[in-house]
Amino acid sequence: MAFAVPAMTALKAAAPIISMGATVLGAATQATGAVAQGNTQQAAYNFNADINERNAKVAEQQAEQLVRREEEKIVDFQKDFRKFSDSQSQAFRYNGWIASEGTPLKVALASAQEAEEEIATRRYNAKVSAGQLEENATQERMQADLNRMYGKSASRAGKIDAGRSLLGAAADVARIRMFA
Amino acid sequence: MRVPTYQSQTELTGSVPGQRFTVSANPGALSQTAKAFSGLGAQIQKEGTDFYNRLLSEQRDTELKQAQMDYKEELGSLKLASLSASPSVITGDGPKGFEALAAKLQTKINNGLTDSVVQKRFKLAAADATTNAYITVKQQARSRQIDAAAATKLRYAETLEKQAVYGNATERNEALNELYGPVNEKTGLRDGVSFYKRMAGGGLITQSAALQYEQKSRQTIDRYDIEAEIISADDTQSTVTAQRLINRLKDPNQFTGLDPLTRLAYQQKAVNLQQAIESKQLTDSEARERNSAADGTRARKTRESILGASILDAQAALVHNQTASSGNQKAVNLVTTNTVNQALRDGKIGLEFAKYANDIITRQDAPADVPAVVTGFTDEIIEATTDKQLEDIRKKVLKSGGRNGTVTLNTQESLLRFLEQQQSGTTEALDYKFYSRQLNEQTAKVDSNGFMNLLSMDNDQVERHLDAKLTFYKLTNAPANPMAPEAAFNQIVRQFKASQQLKVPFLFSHPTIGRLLGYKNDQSREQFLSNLTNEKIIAAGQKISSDDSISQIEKSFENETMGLLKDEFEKFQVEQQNK
Repeated sequence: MAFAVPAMTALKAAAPIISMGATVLGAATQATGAVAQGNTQQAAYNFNADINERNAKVAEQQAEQLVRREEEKIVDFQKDFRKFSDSQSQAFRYNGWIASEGTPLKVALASAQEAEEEIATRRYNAKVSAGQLEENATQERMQADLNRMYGKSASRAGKIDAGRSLLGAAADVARIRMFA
Repeated sequence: MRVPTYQSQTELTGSVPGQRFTVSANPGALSQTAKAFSGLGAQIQKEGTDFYNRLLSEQRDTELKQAQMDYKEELGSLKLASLSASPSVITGDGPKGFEALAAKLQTKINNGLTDSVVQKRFKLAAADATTNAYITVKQQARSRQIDAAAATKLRYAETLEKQAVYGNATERNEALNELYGPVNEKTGLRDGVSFYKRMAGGGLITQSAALQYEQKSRQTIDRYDIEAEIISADDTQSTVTAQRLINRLKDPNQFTGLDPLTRLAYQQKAVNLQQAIESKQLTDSEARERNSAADGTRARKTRESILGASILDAQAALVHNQTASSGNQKAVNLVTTNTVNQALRDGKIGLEFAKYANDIITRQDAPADVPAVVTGFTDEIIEATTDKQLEDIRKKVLKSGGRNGTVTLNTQESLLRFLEQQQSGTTEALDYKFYSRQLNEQTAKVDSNGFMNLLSMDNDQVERHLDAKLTFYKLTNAPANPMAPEAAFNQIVRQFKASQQLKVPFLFSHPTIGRLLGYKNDQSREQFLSNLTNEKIIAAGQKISSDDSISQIEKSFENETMGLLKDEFEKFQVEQQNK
């Protein structure tokens, strides 16, 4: 037991250093953790942003596809209408009428007018739908931008937290040194 | 006929190959590990910080408390030392001032501290302790200053009290004015602001102390005054003064500073004094009367001495004229019994002396001195201690003469002279007293208390003793050529031893005569008496008559001894014949 007293004395002398070391280690760990947390969150946000951008591209493709499909339908409609118009002229002529004058002409012009309006409407509707999809794409891109900003912010927050931890530890030690 | 045309059947699809992903990463969930890691760090930091905080607090607290204890201990010593320092020095700004000493002490302890925070805290605490201690020190110093000032003032008040007591009327009035304020004309009392109240006003003493001091001061002055009156009454032995003091003490408006008990005690003292004075006056009166009586006695004794001397002178002249030639006759102033009796009637002499004088005139003498009576008188005279005792002995001596008396006229006269001599207390008288006592021890049985015990002695011993005492008295008091007490003592002791040796009931002869009788030292009665002859006795008698070296008184003793020796010789011869 003769070594107990010197050991206790040495332990007593080393206690402040040990406790100070624990404080520094804790602060460093906390800071590292905070940085890692920030980075992880940034990575998650970046991932989300990538998803958003991909979704935007999909929406743009959908818009293009919608317009292309509507134009194709218009072409089909125009084919159908010419068939209709030819049938109409045939009917008139069959009935004896001169198809390119008078009432047959007027009727043919009215039908053509209707067909033109149909095509214009179709195009308009397609454009609106494409526009909606493009809006979605835009929203996704904006969300992607926002997520990247969140990521950067989280990264910065982690660093700031790390700094806060270190600063807090230093402040605590200083306070203790001052006021303990 | 209608011409057949190909119509495509499939419409363009509205779908696109890509799908919108709904998948998303949760940043919070992804950062759990890091968050936990950070939390661990935070906990470690918290624990470390808390531990460090407690540890440091404890260390600092311990160090601070130790420093405070050291400081308070040293400060206590400083406070103690400050009690004996000069108040002005200890409260001053100098290097010996309390603050400077405390600062020095503080610096010393502070320099021993390793932690700067503890140093700062110690400075604060020490400053606090120093301030508190300094307040105490200042209060004590102030108290001591006040005490010193109060002591000075009180000494001055004492001076005023003495001035009031010992000074003349003006000085007394001035002192009383200063002590108790001037006399209030309305009340007749000194009830103004007193010296002590002014002291209290100055903060030197409390109001209650001022009252006590004033009461004590007034009482002191009153006591001085009373004591002075008592001394005055005692000095002058005046009962009037004593009575006046008693009256004043009974008056509550007089000596107003006295408390009732003291007043009562002084009243008793004054009454006692008055009674003592009256008693002394009575005693003095009696003493005067006694002195007057003593004077009368002395005058009577003087007249008796003169008358006695006249009688003896006349008788001596008559004796002288019987043998003197006609041309050498002396004038005789004869004193008759009528003269003596007239003097007695006139009260000029006493009855005892008148008897003695008439005995002389008419020659009424005793047949012989009775040794026991004479030696009794001498012992009484030397042991007497008062005049009255001596006077009583004188009367007894005067009465012991006469025809049927026990003391002869000559011895009476001798005893009267001896009495006067012993009364005078001369060296010879003291020597006589000393050797007389020595002779008692040598010739009689004396007990452990120094008293003679004659009853335990046989007749011969008593007679030898009385003869030795009577001879000692007569040798030392002979009218002509008295022997010194020491010489008489030595001679009588030798003779006494010879008497003892010879077993005779009288004092044996002078050595000179003894040799003529054939006496040798250590000779037994038988040896001496068997060698003695009537011729030797006759030859010795002749020698006594013719030897001028032997005084007259010794000769008379020796002649008497020869008679007794002759009787003893005859008795011895009868005894021898009867054997």
